[in-house]
Amino acid sequence: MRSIEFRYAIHRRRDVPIIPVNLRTGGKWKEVWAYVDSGSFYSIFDDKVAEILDIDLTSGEKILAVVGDGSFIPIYLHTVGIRIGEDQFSMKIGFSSKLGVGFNLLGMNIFDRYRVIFDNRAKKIIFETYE
Amino acid sequence: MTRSQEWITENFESLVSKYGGKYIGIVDKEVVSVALSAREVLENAKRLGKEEEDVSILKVPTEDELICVL
Repeated sequence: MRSIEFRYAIHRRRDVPIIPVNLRTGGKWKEVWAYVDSGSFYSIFDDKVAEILDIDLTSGEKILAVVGDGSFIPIYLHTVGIRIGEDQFSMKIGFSSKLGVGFNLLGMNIFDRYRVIFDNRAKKIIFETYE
Repeated sequence: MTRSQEWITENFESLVSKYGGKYIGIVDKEVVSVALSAREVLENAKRLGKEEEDVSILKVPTEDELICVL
């Protein structure tokens, strides 16, 4: 088992669990920050991140996701290489031009690979691999 | 975390205050590029001689967007 720790960002005394992840689709790695969101089924990134990964947005599988105000937004799923710390793997990430939140989101599918600990007292988030 | 990544978390509040709503690129604890898209951020950074793999890209939320985070 390996573990990777990230310190919380803080905003107005509130903890903000954002972490750096590296993404690629064959080219160079791009480091992009994302909010770890256990309330999101999918990992969803802004379509502007798809641009720098040379992803043809609408070629991915289209799904509709419900967002906070009850409306549906289109999301296009693509398989992307991802690196967290030194751990590299592939996973499906959804990209959308209608995300409408201030962050890229790492959702529940990242929890399939990691045991994720939100350690609020220590102000850090810990990713532990299962193997 | 690298020192530059730690710098981003430590300075998150001021980054939101200065750059909310934009994409920024950070290299070695310095904001080197500010733009409305991640592609522009990388292009600006490359023009400054930065390697794209060294650029840490942050979509900076606005104050309002942070209030709305559940």
